[in-house]
Amino acid sequence: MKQTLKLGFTLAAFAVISCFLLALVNSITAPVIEQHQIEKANAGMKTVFPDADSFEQVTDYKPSTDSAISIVKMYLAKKGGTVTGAVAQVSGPTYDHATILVGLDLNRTVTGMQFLELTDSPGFGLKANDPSYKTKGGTTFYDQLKGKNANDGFMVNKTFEAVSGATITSKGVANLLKQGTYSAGEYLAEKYGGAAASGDAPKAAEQPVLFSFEDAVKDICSTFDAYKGLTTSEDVAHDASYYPHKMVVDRESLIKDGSGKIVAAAVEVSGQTYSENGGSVIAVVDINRTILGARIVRIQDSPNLGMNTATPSFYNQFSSKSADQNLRPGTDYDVVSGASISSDCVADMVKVAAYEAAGIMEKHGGRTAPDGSAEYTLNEHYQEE
Amino acid sequence: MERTNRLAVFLNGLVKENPLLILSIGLCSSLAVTTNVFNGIGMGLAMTFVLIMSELIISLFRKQIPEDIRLPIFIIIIAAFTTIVQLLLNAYIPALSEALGVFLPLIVVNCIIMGRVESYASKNTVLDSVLDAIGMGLGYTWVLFIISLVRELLGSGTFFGIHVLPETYTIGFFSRAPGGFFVFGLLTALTVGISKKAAAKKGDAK
Amino acid sequence: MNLYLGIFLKSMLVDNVVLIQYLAICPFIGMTSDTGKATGMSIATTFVIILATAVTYPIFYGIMVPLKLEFLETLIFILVIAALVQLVEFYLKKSIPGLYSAMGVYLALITTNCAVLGTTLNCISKNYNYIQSLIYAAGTACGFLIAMVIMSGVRERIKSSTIPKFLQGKPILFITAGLLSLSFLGFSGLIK
Repeated sequence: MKQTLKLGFTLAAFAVISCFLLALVNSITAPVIEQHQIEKANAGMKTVFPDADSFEQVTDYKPSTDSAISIVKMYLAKKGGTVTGAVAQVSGPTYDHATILVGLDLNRTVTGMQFLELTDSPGFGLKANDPSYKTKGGTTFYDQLKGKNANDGFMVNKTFEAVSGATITSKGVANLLKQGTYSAGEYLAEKYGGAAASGDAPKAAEQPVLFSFEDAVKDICSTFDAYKGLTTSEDVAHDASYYPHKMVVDRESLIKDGSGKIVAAAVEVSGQTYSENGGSVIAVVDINRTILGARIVRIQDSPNLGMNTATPSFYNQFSSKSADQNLRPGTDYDVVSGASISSDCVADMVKVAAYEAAGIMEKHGGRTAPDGSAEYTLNEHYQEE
Repeated sequence: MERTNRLAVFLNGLVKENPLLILSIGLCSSLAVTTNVFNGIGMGLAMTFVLIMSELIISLFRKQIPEDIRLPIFIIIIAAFTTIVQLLLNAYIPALSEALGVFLPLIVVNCIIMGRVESYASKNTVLDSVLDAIGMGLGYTWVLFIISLVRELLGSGTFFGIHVLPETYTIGFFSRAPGGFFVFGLLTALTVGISKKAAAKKGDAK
Repeated sequence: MNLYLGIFLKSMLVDNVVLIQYLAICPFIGMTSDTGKATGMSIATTFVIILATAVTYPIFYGIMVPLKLEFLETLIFILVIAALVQLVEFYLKKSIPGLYSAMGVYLALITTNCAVLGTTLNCISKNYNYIQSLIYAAGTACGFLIAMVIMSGVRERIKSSTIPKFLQGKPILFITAGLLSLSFLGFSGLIK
């Protein structure tokens, strides 16, 4: 027992003395190490705000107005104790994802921009962060932003040159810049006499939205006072007759008002899109063979390209069109930039769905189809032809 | 007579029982950090410091350390000095501590230190132990110097960061993992060759 | 799920503990003369690596960080590992005495195996969460096992080959390790 005690005591003695010695050394070196950390963090921020000598983090800044973009951190840039600007760290979607640091002075002029993270495609979007990539103006992509005023806006190919072959990345970066500079600018304006914003807060970039059949009908009906609150009432059996280009009618439904009168019909159609997984759309048509609205139920095309057919600014184009007119790109609707195949496929499905819905309405007292409307033309050239 | 003994103790670690080339211990850190001379020497000196201090303290207290718990105590002492080196480098030469990375704390499991402390320092006087430590440490360092010299020169064309060879003549292989193994293998082969020759000469002389 | 698979494959192949990270070279050179010994040693080491990570991680985040004792990381981790190895030794002695006597002094040597301490330190510095750390440890251990088994297999073949005189013994082992390392470099693009 005594032996074990003695052993334990000796061991403890060595341990205690060692820890004491270490604590001593640590207390001497810890502040030095911390100073290094701060300088390292500052060094990163100095590249976007060279004219400052210290940075102070703040937390009471306005968040971004776009749910997909987040302003992760905000720092005040100080020179000799006075605030000369701010640095914002903004994170959000580009072609894939990016995090940037952007410096803004009290005039809302950008002092510099830098990528902390960029996961876009090598050879394309990733070039935005490449120091050896030079724009036509002779600078790197990110150095272009120096000296630009946030109040002039950030427009791709106007304010700054896009990365060649990577417009979506460039647009994404522009959105990050808009959000970061707006929040930083407002913070400086509010508290440190910075320049005021010349416009409103930036709008959130549109996100694609997919709807279930019922939700689509509800959403479409809610945009009309006459149909507010209505939803699908009674499903109709649909026949398996030939639909062009292997399109399939998934579901047909009547929409009745409070008194039981049939006011509109909804049809969901599936068909080919750009991706081999295809997609489905729903169209709602009233008794006058007018499309009340169209929504996308399912689509899996490329993000930022074909997927954007599911954004309101695309599908709302079909509202108020007649179910009997051919829906042509350029004339009847504008395609999603860079995704004409997806856009045309979706338009074709809307056309077929709308025509079918108009046919249902005809059986329930709706307007008769004008002559020749059954011989409609679709846009896309499909595989099996 | 004593003078020669002390010198012998010191020279032992440098050549005859060189830890890396002859005893083949402490290999881990030697290959990973020898991509350039700055790192190589830095590691060598850091390890030497820990070795000297550890052998010093353990030899000093060799009569007080009970046999049964000697291993944990050795570990505590070696770990303490390793941490001290870590903290000092983090504070004053951060470039080196960043370059050495995880291999800096790994000095604590460097077989050389544990081995020498167990087999030498716990049984010899303080002065002898310190000499042994310096010898072994320098023996370790000069081998690291040679490996990193070759790897830096051939791998990136620089010496201590100064460009010597133009970039087009560099062989990236030497800066990566396989290069370390190869250089060390060839160095060991050289050692074997030299020691065989030396043994043969001795044999002839006899 | 993908993330975990990625960590596992990365630590096993892309950052192979022996051939790329240069850890655990001593047993790699010293114990691969016999495939049976090599496998036995690797399995014991695997066990210790995973166990050590499982124990040191909560100690670090649960006790050391709140008490601001991060500077004692090296000291405490190595003591924990030494204690764990002692425990494993006790356990083996009692329940599988055959394995214990076969391993001999090499069991105690696991304490000084760079890979064990290295893995526990890496998990902290890479800011992995608990599950990720365990997966990383498992991947590292598998990588160690693979390297050991391959090396011992190659050594068997070396025994029956003609080797230039000046390369015989240790030098050829390092050259071989270099070639193996080169082949593992091929995995480098596997995981982003």
